[in-house]
Amino acid sequence: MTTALAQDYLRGRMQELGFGDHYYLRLRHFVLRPREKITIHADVHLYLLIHPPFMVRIQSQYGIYDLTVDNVNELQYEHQGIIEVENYASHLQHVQFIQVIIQNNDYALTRPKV
Amino acid sequence: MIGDIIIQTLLITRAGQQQYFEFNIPRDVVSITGIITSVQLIDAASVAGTGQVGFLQLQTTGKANGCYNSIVKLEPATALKADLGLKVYQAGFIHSNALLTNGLAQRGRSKPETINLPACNNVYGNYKDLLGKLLSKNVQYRIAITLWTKMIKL
Repeated sequence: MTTALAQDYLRGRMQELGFGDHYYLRLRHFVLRPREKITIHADVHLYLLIHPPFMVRIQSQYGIYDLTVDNVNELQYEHQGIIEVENYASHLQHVQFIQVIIQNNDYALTRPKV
Repeated sequence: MIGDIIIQTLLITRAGQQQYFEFNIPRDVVSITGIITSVQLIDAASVAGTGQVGFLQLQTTGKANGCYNSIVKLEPATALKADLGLKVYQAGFIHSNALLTNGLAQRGRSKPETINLPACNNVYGNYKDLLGKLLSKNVQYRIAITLWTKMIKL
């Protein structure tokens, strides 16, 4: 998924979920050492996978992204909840996401217009 | 108005390691009022020097200047043992063990540092190791960052 497609997709997806424009976007670029496994706690966030590498497993309750599995008929780019990211290659790999932070705090200030 | 704490722990294993993290702030938080950072050394026989362990930066969403920067310092555990002048049983614990003794020694400060960060959806954090860099070797330790918040009961 290209970044442009991801942005376009997210705009529509957030509208669909009922959040409108009330969200922040952040680029997350994780550096995973050989055999490293990390856990992302994203209960109130949404993670969209962009430029996924080979030999990486990304799994959450939404589904799995792993090019080597054959027991699923679709791979998921969108993840939420507890997301496990594992690099099972023997070399360093990079995994990039777009993180969507939903503005759910009623007391938070919005960024003033310059 | 009630309060709550939010804790984030980081494991540092390599010299000069830089770790990014985030706090998810609950939706009923109206302000962030205090912070405490604590260090638990895991693999460090003796640490001398300035006591500086790392550099911590926090940034809140939604406001350009909602930020906090600080040098995380090691509390002088040996000095505190003498300063307190307490034995374990004097502090109310009858069955002592090494963990408890160390726990007592490291609890020199119990009041959080006062800060005033606005309500936000997330706090982005960045921690950079100074201790391992200074000693030119990998020092393994755990950092706990605790935020005190004020919230409205929904």
